[in-house]
Amino acid sequence: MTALPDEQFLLLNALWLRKMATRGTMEENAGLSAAAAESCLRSAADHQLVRVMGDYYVLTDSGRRAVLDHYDSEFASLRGDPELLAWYERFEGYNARFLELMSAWQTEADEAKERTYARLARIVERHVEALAGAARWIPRYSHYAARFERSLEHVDSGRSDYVSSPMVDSLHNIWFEFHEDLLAVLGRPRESLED
Amino acid sequence: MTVIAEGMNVFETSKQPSGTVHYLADPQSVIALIDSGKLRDHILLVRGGTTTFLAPALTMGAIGVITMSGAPESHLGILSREFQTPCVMTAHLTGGSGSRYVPGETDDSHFEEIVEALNGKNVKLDCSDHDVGKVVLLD
Repeated sequence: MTALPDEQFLLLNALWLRKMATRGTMEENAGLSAAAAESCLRSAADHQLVRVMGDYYVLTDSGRRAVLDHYDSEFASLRGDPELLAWYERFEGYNARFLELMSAWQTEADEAKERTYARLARIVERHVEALAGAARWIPRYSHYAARFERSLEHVDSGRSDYVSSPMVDSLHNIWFEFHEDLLAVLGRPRESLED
Repeated sequence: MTVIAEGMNVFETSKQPSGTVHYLADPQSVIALIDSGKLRDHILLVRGGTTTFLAPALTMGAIGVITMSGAPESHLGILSREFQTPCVMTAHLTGGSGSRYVPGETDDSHFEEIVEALNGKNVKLDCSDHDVGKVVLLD
């Protein structure tokens, strides 16, 4: 188990969470400057941790392994923390409700969507508040809060694609990536929890 | 019309994608299929409803998905609605041993039986019903 340099982890983790991403998406989701992302990507390509598919990047097997090893190396000491585990259990409760409301929002007639979105936004807002507490364990989680707040603002200004579209930094994308991140911190990555 | 498997329909659609079922076991097999340029020739079969490694295939234009576990409210269900990719979840065989997926209580033989029965078959997805999605054998 070896840890990656911090910025390298942020970049590769952004790609691991998104599965397939442009350089711009990785920069934004990792919170890195263009120069830092460029340098990390060059190094990752030299070490065959990423590969290019058209406009997108994907992780190689070695890249996936490097990301998961980093989680094991950096976060193993947190995995027995009862307060973090309790925080996670509360998140799972919110998660079930979030997914249910998101699915409803996608399939409802327009007149019902507004009410469902209001409930969805309340869950996201509560989660943003909870993230402030989780940042004491994992400071980079404050970046998820900033992304959620930005997407809530986009929806408020009429961009409904920021609710669930996979093509923008939507509430669903951010929520999913956070969930995946948290599971990996706890040593339970989905790739080993396929059911 | 022979229905060889059915499961929960993620969203109602008149689309009826057809192709050869291709079982995807891991992230590498997803990337290999995209690389082959034949992604659109296949209906994709995966084990879990949380199979997040399928996201690149949906992004690149997958035509249809069958899962062997998971619910329409899952991440994959939400993504398949966004991409309007017909998706049948927690599919079970209409023949065979009659095995059904039960979370936490289903062993590998259940999944192996479905892969054995569907992989390589030429099928069409019928997702026109609100609740039930069907896998129809074409030849």
